[in-house]
Amino acid sequence: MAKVGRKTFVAREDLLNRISELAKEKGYTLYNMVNEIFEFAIKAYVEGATPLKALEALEELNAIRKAGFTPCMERLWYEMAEIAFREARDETLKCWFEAGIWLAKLYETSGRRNPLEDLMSDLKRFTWEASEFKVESRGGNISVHILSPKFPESYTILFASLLEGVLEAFGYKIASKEVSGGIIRLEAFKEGGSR
Amino acid sequence: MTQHKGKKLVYISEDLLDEVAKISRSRGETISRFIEEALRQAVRVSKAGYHLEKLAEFFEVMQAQKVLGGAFVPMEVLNYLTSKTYREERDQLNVKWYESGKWYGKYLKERFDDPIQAFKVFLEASRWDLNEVEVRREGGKVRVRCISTVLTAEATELLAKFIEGAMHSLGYKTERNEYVKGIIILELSEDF
Repeated sequence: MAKVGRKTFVAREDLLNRISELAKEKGYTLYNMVNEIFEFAIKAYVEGATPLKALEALEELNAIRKAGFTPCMERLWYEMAEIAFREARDETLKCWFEAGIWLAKLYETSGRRNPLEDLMSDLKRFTWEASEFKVESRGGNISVHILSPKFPESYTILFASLLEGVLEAFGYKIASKEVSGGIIRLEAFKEGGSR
Repeated sequence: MTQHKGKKLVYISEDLLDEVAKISRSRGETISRFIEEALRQAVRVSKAGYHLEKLAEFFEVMQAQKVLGGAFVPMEVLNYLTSKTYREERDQLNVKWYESGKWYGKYLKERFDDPIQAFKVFLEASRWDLNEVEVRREGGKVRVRCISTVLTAEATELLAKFIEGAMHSLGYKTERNEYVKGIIILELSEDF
C-alpha cells in the first residue's frame, strides 16, 4: 500500500488549540481533523465559495424548509404548472392565490416584526431563477417587480396569483398589474389607507 | 494593545497541502493566510454543530442543484400540482419525471467521483418529505429504499420514476421496482 506523504505547516497556536479540542470531542487525531478541515475548505473554494458560505447555504435551506417551501427541479415544476394551468386554469389560479394567503398567515402569526417584508425578502432569496425581484414600500403603497426570462407564461401568471394572495392577506388591494411571460409588475395600496 | 499570538507546527497530508498551495496561488493569497482563514472558518462551522464532511458533501450537491435549475416552491402548491397533473396526464408525467431523473443522473455522472453517493445526498438534502433514504451497494448491485410518512401515492410513483431515470443514467438497469404509498424499493444491477 502506498504511504501517504506528510508535510508540516505553521499556524496560529490559539486556532490550533481550538482545532485540537474539536478533534478530541470527535475522537479524531489532530492530523485527521486538520486533513478534514482542508478537504472541506478545498471543496468549498473549488465551488467558488468558502466554508462559511457553505454553512450559510445550509442555514438558508433550513429557513426555506421552515417557511413551508420545498426544493423541486425547475423544469418539472414549470411543466407541471403548465399542465395544471392548461387543464384547470381557474382551479390552479385559486390554489396559488390560496397558497399566497397561507404563506402570509404563516409569517403574520410567527411573531415577526415585519412579516410582509420578511416574506417578500424570503421569496426573493428562494426565487433563484428571477434575475430581478424588487419590492418597494412607500406609505400605504407597495410595488413588486419581478423579471425572469426563465419563467414560462403560465408560471408567470401563477406566481403573480400567489403574490396577489400574499398582498391581499396583508390588507392590500391591487391597483394595477402587468403580467406576461417572465414579467410581473404589481402595484397595491393598503385598504383604508391613502393612495 | 495587540496580543502576540504564538505559532505551532502541525502535520497535514502532502497532497492536500499541494492543493492548498495551488488554490491560494490562484486566489493571489499567501498559503499561510489561506490556512489561517480555513482553520478559523472551520472552527466557526464546527461550533455551529455541523460535521465538516457532511456539510461539504451537502454543499457540493446543492451547488449542482443550482446549476441544474433548482427551484424552491410552496409545498402546498407542489402537492396540488402533483395530484392535479397526475389525474390529467399520468403517463406524460411519469415520462417527464423519468426523463428529468435521467438528465440529473447524467450530470451527476459527469460531475462527481461517486455519483451514487452524490445522488443519495441529493435525495436526503432535497426531499424533505423522505424520512429515510438508504442506498446499499453490493458488488454490481444497488438497492435504493426510500420511506416517507407523508408522500402521497402519486408523488411516490413520480419519485420512483425519477430515481429509476437517474440510476439508468448512472449505468444500472432495473431488476425490481416496487412502490406503494410512501415506500420505494428499487433494485438495480450494472448494465454492461
